[in-house]
Amino acid sequence: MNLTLRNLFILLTCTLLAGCDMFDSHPYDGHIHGEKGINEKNIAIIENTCLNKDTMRIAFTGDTQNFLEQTEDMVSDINKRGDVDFLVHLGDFTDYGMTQEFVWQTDILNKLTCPYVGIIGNHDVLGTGMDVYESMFGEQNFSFIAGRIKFLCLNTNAMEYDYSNPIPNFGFMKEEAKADSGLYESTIVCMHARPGTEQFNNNVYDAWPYYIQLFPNVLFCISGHEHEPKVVDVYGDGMLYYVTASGNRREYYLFTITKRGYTYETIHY
Amino acid sequence: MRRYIISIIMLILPSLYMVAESPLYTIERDSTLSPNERRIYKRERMWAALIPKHEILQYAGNMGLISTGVGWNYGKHNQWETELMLGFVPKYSTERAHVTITIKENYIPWRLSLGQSPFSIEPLHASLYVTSIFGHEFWNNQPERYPKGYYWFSTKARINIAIGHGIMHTLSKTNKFALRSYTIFWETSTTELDIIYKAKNKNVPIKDIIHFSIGAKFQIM
Repeated sequence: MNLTLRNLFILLTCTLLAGCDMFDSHPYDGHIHGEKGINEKNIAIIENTCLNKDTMRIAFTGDTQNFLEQTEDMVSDINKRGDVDFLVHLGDFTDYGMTQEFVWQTDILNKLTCPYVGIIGNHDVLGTGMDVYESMFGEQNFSFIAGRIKFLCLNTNAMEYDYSNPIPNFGFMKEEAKADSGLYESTIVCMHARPGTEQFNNNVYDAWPYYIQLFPNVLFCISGHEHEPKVVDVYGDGMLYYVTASGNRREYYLFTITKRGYTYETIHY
Repeated sequence: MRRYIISIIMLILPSLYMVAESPLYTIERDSTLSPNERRIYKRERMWAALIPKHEILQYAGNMGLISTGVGWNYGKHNQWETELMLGFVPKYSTERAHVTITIKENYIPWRLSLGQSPFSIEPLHASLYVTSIFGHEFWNNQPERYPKGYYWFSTKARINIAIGHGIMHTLSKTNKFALRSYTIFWETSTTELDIIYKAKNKNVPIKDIIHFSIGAKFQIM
């Protein structure tokens, strides 16, 4: 091979390597070709825009893994409405916890004209998924205040961990119940897997309501994971747990929350 | 783990036999040798077949950012290759870097020489490889704590198929590297889960489920 041809080959290779993100080292490499710090960025927007709102319209969905077309249609539907304040995704962005799967989902969700937050689902923990979630979204347990309502967002995927990662994190919940007093009057608890599901640490099934009741005026709890939408009075105490549908069902919840309470619709798209 | 050992044995054993008979390595049968000496030579030949015939350096391809290993050539026209490689996956956004091990089977049916030049084109490289990633966070079969059939897939091993091309440069018999030849190759691959994803999501672009790779092989024997 003469000198010119060899140099051309080297140049071509370097250009290819530098410019192309199709040279992948591993499906679980955690090499994120997408946005990071999504929750922090969007929470800042949500807290600012919803600060003095009397009426909020919030969309809830979850389990959109492997349903990219449906997720795109859901985003179009929410954008078309124009009156949704933000979306809460209740987890399971991925089926296998692979880096590319997270990016596929966030690339679609980033097309929302409203902000969104994401909670970790059990599938999202697999392989290096936990690390990727923390990089792309943020802390596994977090909260934010919108329209004087605290949204408590928790990692409840206990079956994915050993005891080194407390799930649910009662210490976090206790701290959250003490923090921000005076800044909110009501609470909504969001999670991927609710008490009673196989993912939840049902050893603490009876203890869970104690920690929920530390919060003022808990309006409702909402979760995903089960794929089938339903409303369950889990403990028979009037505290309702709403369960969202998976992406293939082409429906999401739209809650309208006012100072007097809330209503909700199931939106089919 | 057992499945990998069985796969490796199934790949290596027939290769051993074929390589022992291949033109790359022969020992003449001397009729003056005693039956015992002939049997010893045969044993030596069988074990010598385990000596790798080429070395590989590969970039990307879902087997690590960079992977390196050894390979064996066999077949009537050396069209079959079996390769064993270790790869390095950088940390990126995960808690630590990882190491992968890959066993790769290549089929290179044609080597077309370019006239009088020492170059040959290999218009088709067809490969099947299994990559396994080391780490406590990965498993082949779901841990016992899960209900039966909770996660049907493996997080540890990935099956990949690839097609590509190569250019081989046959070196002179007096080259300073003491190599027979070297090959530059490139491949396009996909994994079994990529195929499943594409089947379930028609509008995922093809470019998202295919992966590129380039590498070099050095024929040492």
